[in-house]
Amino acid sequence: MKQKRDTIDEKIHEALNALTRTTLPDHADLRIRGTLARYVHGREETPVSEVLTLEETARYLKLTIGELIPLLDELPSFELAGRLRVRRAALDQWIETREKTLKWQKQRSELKRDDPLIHYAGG
Amino acid sequence: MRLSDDDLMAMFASGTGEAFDMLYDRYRHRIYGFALTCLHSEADAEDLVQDVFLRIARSAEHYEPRNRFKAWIFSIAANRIRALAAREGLLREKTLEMHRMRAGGSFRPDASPTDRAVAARDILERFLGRLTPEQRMLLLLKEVEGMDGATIAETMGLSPSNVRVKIHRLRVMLRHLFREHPEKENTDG
Repeated sequence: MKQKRDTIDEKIHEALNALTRTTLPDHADLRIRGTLARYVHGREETPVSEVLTLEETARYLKLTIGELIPLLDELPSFELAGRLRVRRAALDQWIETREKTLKWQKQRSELKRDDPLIHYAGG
Repeated sequence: MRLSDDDLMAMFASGTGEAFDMLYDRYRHRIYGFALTCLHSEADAEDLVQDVFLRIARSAEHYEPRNRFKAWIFSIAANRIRALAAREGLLREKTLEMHRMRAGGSFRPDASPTDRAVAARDILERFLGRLTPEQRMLLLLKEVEGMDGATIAETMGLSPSNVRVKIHRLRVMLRHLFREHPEKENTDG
């Protein structure tokens, strides 16, 4: 009985695999690759638009969204149709003010361990 | 040495686009087959593959390497399938058009049972057609993806005991079905 059940299970397994193992059609594969490539490649680029979304701002600053959120109070953003936007020029200015106020010794101790800057700083 | 899925995600997160292509190559057919069987729509399954991989690409920076990539990618697909199923109502009502197509015309619902041999494939097609999307997903994760109960539970957001019960029930139904219809393949005229 046990053996018979195993045989049936094996048959079920094979039939299911034969039925459901299929390949993504070439035309769909090409289209998806194209979309993904635009995204995967696009994320490396600095955004060209003058007005940035929060995602683009994070990308521009090389931060994750999670890291950007706590900075929202300081970030020179504006609201438009219920959405936050950041002007790139204002963002650059803001970065400049931070550059001026950077207290290197203090900041160094706060830099994340994995930040290569820590090595440059000899930390 | 074969790079693990987690290795590839780490490489991708640090800017190596090719690592993402390798993940895509590893999973595209499997995700497509999974979606196609559950949704019975080629267009929906194709869209789903794109959605799943876009989601993966977007989440790469937050990905935690816990050796759970497979559960993660299939859970994204499963959630999407659930959403589509909810949108479209009862998917099981849909015909098995694509299966008929792929079976090369061997699936003939108009033929009387005495006319033709009942192949395992046909039994399964009809069986799958009667299942809910969730049942189909459970069956595929177990039998095609070879996941263990804990991984299926993680993928589907169910408790392990719930998964065990549901899969057992499916297996009992399938065994019953296969016993009733001994396979007579290749005798179909």
